[in-house]
Amino acid sequence: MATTPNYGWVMPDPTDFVTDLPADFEIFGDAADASVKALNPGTTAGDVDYYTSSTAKARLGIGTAGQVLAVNTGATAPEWVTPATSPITTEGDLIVGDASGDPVRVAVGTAGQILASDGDTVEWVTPAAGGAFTLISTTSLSGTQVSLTSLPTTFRHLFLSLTDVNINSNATIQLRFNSDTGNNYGHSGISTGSVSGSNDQPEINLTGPTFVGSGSSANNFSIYINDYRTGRVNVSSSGTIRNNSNQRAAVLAGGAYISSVSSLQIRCNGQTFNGGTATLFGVQ
Amino acid sequence: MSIIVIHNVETGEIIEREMNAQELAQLEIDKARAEAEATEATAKEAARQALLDKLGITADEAKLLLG
Repeated sequence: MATTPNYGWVMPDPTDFVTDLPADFEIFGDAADASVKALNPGTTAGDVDYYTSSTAKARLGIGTAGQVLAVNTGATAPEWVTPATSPITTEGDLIVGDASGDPVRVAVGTAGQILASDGDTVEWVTPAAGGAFTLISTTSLSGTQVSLTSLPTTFRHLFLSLTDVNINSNATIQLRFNSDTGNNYGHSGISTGSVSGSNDQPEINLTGPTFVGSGSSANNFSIYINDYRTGRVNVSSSGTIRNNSNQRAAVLAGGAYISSVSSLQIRCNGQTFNGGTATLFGVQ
Repeated sequence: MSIIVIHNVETGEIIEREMNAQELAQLEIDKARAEAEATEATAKEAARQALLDKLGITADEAKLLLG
């Protein structure tokens, strides 16, 4: 009995009786119908057909509104899935992963809050009250002048520590602001019983009437720069030095400035630093 | 050779370079002023010592006198 080459449908033979043809066509038609149905398994509007093997197909019913077609976990068949949507609803929202790694929304914090970690996730927190010192920079003193630029604007005050300052020749230690060399500063100083002071100077003198002696490293200064961003800056400094007679001297100095400070210049009045360290802290 | 050190505390970049003409000119002004101040301080000290010598007293005795 003859069959079709691809699907093996039974065909009437040339020698079959004509009276057998209705029955033969019934067999042939049923086989063809079954094959076509297997190729088109859909039953409902929106159905998607897909192969389950090299020859067999199956029906995937339509998904729900908004779903998208994706490959299933085993990568064996397609499936309808609901896509992840952005959790953002409001200006300032952040997206972070939750405990399962799914995206969730973190609403913006209140003014002045900072983003912090609690070890598991992030949260907006109110920073601790002021008073803490925050290290901004550490700089070795060398050359004729050391300039600290691009000072942060996130603090209220600055504290500058100069330690082990060593200069090549007897000189005063000075502080300038914003590279300004105009006579815009007033300062006064005390050194072990002697006083000095001048208005309209291009810098604040940290050593008062005393010169730091050359070659000694025993020169340290603590400099507090108050309200450095407000335009009503004042500076107070205390230090212990070896003077130009190699005597240990205590120096106090203060000065005023009338503009905000964006950079500091540490100088030894035209001489050269042989060593020392400038450590700058921000204070809230 | 006069070196200037510029530390950008925001980026951490440190540049060491020779002073430019404008900075060198300012340095000369500063040096001249420093020398004048030193000369003035030396002259004051000399005058003070001369006065003490003239009075025949020491610096500590002068402090006691004024204190």
